[in-house]
Amino acid sequence: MMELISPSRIAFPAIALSLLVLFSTNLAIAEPPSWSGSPDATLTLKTLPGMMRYDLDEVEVEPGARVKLVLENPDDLQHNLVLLKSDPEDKDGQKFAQGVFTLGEKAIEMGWVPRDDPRIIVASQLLDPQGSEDLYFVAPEEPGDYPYVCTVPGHALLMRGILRVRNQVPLLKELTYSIYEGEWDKLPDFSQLEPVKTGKLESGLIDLDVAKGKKGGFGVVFEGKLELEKAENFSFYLASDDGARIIVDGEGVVDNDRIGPMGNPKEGKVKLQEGIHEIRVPYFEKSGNRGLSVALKSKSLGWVDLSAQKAKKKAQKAPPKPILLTARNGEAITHRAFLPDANPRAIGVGYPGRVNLAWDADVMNLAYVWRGGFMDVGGHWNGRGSGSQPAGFDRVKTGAGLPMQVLESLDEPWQPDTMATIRYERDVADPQKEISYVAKHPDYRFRGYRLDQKRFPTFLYQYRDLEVSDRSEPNLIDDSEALVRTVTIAGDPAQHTYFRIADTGSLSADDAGWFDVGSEMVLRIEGAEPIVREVGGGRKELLVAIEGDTTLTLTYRWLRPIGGKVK
Amino acid sequence: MKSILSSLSFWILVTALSHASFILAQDEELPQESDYYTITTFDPPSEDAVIEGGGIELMPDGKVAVCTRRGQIWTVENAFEYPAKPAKWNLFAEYLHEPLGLAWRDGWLYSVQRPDVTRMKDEDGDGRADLFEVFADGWGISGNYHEYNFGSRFDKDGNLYAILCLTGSFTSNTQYRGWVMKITPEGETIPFACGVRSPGGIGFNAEGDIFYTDNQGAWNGSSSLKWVKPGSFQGNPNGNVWFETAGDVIGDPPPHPPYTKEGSRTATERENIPTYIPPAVVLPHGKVGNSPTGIEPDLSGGKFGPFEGQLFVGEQTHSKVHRVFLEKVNGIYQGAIIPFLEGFDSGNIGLLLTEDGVLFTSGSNRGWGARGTRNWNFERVNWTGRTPFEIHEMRAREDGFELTFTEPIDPATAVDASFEMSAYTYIYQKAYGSPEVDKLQPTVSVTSVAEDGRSLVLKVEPLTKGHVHELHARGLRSASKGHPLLHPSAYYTLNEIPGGDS
Repeated sequence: MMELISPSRIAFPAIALSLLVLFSTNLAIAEPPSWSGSPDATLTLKTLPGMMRYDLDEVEVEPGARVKLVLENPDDLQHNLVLLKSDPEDKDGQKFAQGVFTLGEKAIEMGWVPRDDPRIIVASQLLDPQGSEDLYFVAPEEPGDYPYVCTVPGHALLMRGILRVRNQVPLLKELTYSIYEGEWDKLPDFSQLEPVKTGKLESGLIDLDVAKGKKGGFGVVFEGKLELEKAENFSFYLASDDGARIIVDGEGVVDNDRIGPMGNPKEGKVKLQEGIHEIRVPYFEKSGNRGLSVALKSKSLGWVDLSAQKAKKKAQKAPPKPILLTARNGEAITHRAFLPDANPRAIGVGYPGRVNLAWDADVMNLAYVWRGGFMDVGGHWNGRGSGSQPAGFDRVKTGAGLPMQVLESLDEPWQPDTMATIRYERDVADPQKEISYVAKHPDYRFRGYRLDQKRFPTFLYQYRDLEVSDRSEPNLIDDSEALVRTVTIAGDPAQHTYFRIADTGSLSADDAGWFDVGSEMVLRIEGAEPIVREVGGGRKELLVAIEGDTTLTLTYRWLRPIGGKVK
Repeated sequence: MKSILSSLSFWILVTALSHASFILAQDEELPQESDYYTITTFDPPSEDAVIEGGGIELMPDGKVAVCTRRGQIWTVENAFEYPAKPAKWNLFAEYLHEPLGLAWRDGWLYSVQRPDVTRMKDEDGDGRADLFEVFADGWGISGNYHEYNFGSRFDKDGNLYAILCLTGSFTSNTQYRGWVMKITPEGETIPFACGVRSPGGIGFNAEGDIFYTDNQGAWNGSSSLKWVKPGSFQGNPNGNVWFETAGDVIGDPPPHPPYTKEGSRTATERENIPTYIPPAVVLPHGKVGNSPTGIEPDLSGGKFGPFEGQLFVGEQTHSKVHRVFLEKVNGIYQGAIIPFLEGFDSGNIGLLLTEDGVLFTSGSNRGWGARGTRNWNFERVNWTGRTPFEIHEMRAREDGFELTFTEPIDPATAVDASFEMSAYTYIYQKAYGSPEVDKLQPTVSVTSVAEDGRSLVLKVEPLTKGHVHELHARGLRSASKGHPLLHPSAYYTLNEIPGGDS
């Protein structure tokens, strides 16, 4: 069954508290401040299970705001959150996190947070899986970008974000409105008409609520002042039901003068000088639904809504909601979908124990392995289906491509995946475009896969006269995630048949026979004698000769465990 | 709303003809589709289940299997009895790649998915498939979402047909996109026909000939039902590049249709392109639907009502099922689409019409909207046993059409004024879709009415080869109750005129 991960808020577990009592040298679980019941802003940040990420990489508050930050950890690893003061030398907090790591044993005792460090604005405890904590802090008075990271080793590279401290006072000053009555199909010249009502909008936001109760057949003119601290290029956005216009200093910038529904906002661009500008938004409603959203955007101000009704941000297509697949009940998931960085027939497998692989059924080989969460199928299962995304991290690609070949000598190069080209006659008037496509290699045939009791797949294929099976199992070696892959080759191979195991890293072996394949991964081979050959450009390949029925056991091991304890 | 309109047009007619015998009480309710065919909507097996059906198959043990766009295959026990007996859902397989075809043979469930035809078996008997054998995969996929593959059931010789959507609306970026492939009983993949754009389903008519539905777009002025004659060209040349790799199994590529801006007409290009098979039945875009899908013949011997031997065709956007009457004239299939049933919960994609006369549909609105407001549906249609008053067949004649009816008609209403016809065709062009063009208003006159009231002959002037002849018989009434036709419209695609030049 698919598992939909929906993080839910769970009370801070007592066990984490007791750990802190034991290990924290500088234990100070701050009492919630007196304003904790009425903060200016409440933010919620969650970890994304298996993805080594927070759900938000950007949050915004006002200078000096009293902030309640709810941190939730639905992941199955320990995480924390440390909010830092700005440092031009370390804008994203990576150096800080690295510094914590180098504290070694001491850092572990501190729960990876050196609480005396003056850069820290606020820091959570080390949250256990399913834990949560309410943090309270006062936002800096200085507008700017403040990084937050998870300081558990190895996490900060992906687990990071920015707290943007911004003035959010409404930009429009002295905002007034005038309401008119009449039936129009186009904006009338309101200056020739007598308003039935006028007033001020203290909120500084253009708001059709001023005409609440009117059933239709009315118009409103909003007028206000826009004070700019510097000259800039601006984009204005307008969506309205029915017609409206944005006029800046008497010049029309966006025109949406017609009868119809809101739709996507129309955009207009204008360069404005430093100083005060007159903004005028005439609007009319004939009948039916009503709506008016006005916004602007500039480099220094970002997106600013000028109306109570929020505008749909243009060019901000919401990505599909993540749907995370994770192996459950000790069973693997064998998932067929388009995967990045592999051929279209690739198959994803998520094993229990946070080890995953992509097996490429176009070339009959491992495409890559990764740790952490298995698969975000949000893109695959939404809309027309854009494909799945591996959810975790630490992806390693080694020895991908066609697995077997007959080499007359060890100087003969390994052939690349088969791509064929063909001239593409799309249109006789405009012909002869050349396209390349994945063509089936005549030596291989994919036979499918068999699932065992644990639903672990064994991939089956033919290479010439040989029957090959390829099965993997997750493992833990020296606390590090590993994958043990068994390739069984049956039949009578042609002379000089080789299996390529790796083509990355230094491929030097330590005393225990672990080969370095780069990306902090090592590989051990049982069942055949490894051959390392130079292939030019300083690159090497690791092959084994296949001389009869062969069982290869290939163990792929990450050098380091994933930081943070798993419960 | 619909019944109000029907009543209104009825009253206009009554006034016009002022014939006493079919004056009904003003408030009598006119028959509805649901008087004759009921739709039963299945509850999901669990709250988070998503059954975006792409193909449906009957298993030998009486369970109904449905494969979904999310890659699951469910089997449903008590699917025929539900809700009298609770439906028992079992997840037989999951994580396939958007399977859109399901067929059972000899202990294996075959599914056509994006990368291949996989056949599945539950060897350890726990209800879940554990062996996934790739049976055939002789085509390319490039990773583009548009490359949907639909699959048929087995034909009488044990072949299965996979139909491969183009890479995009105008491209075929890897092998055999835009082709129909034959999968032999041995698992060999053989190029079978070309010229496909964007299929929605593939199946057989009662005689076992292969048909598929294609969606409006490039080289398809309207969506239509097409006959997959072996070796034929279906009209869209974008995939013809693959003749180069197809070898001699299919012959030479067809000549190019004109790429001019003005385009051409199907009837004209049939003369120039010998293997081009025109759409058997155009499903006028926007009028009867927007996106035709699965195809099932009625082989129930009357258990599904009076339409034995006719075809039922799913419709995704309008959430409907159409009925199609086919005939072969001068060696070419043609016929009429007659509305059948609407009001499904989501966009129908997969269909199954069993020999017991029970129709199952399943589909989704994902990626393309549907009138049915739910995101997916699994539904069953049963005949109530009552016979609707319908046009049964619409056959072409040398100078018009013959209509047959499921019930005797009131001969007094079999008058010229009861009928209205328009005729039109579409531009055959590389641009997307086409408006209705070359429009005509033929005159329709009743030349004879059968004594039993079950058929009549219409003379139509002019009859135009290649045109859709859209007939509305709003004035006809049944002899017994004076009811109007449940569906007074039929759309006949006149590829050939009987007795005329072939």
